Amino acid sequence: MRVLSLDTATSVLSVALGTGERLIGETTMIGARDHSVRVFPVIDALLDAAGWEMRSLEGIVVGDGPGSYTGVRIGVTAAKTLGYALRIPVVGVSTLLGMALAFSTFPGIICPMIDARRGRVYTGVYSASERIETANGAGSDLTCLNDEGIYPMERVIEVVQSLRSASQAPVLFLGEGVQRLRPAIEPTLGHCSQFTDESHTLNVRAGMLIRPGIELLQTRDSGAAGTLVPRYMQMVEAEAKMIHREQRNE
Amino acid sequence: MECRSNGPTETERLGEQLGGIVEVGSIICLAGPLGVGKTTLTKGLAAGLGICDPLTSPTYTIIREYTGGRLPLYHMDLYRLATASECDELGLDDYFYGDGVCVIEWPEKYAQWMPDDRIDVRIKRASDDRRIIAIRSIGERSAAIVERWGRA
Repeated sequence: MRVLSLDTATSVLSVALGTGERLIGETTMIGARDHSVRVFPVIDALLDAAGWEMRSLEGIVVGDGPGSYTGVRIGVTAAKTLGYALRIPVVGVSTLLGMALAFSTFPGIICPMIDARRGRVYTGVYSASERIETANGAGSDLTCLNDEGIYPMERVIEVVQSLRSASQAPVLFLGEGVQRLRPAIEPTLGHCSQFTDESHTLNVRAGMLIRPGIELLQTRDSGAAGTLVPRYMQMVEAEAKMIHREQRNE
Repeated sequence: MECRSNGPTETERLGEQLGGIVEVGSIICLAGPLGVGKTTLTKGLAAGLGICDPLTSPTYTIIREYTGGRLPLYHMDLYRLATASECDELGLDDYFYGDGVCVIEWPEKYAQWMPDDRIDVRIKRASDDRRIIAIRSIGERSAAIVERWGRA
């Protein structure tokens, strides 16, 4: 099954091609404000490099957030547009899951983070649930231990600690802003915590979305391009109003 | 800080001075009734940033983007928005925490989400042409900009 995957939810633009058996190629680059201009030329160039016809694609996988409003919308819109035009199914996979999957062999807890601004991050806490042995090697399937959501930065450590409970499992923090969090985390977790190098890691990689995406494409009867919606994961209006009321009462 | 302006030309010049000082991430909230000179001040600010394109009111488009200056300018007018949830759908944070300067007209429509570090400018009508311009900075970065603006 020939699949195109893409993710533009963050400052990273990533596009990949793969099949059920393997990842064929990936283009990943950082550059915040021009995903909408670049995404189709990058897709074209990658298809060309792989020698794949656009019309040979059988499914599309998109990182459906969370992330920046504009970024999530660009990715989902690009994926749905292609899905409609090519009459092929489109499925969404969590951008956070994709980030964690790049480190799926990490022996412990994986905490991918995306800057949600105003001192908040989008995060989910993942750990390996089972080891997958295939003819070509081993990988891990990841389970999300909490609900992915938006958290004040200072609460991330609490959330991680509560899920880690008494275990001494090491924790890998990755994503934008991890270095900012480091001073708050290291005193608590010490050598159990690890951080990715922000300037030399492109945290979001569309190639990681292909395997979970193909599972969805094969197991679900949905996948109709029209049904996919972005996951913004922002505060709902009711909460915003509550804060507004509190501010007025002060 | 409070300034007085004797007419549109002076208001525009004030904006131009500010345009020479603002930085990446600067947020300017512009309040005041219709026709008081909010867009005039923004025109000056655009000129101060070195933007040559003519600036038009974003009332109908809500957001206009101007590149080609020292920094991108994002000019917003929230007047037509009815609820905070409509503002949510615009993804304004992408602009507020982006790579340019934001000028927001009618910020009271989305007051609870205005960033913590910002410059609040309120223009009041003193007579037909004269205006009183009240400037208040919130946060350290904005305070430094307002201080330089005051000296300009």
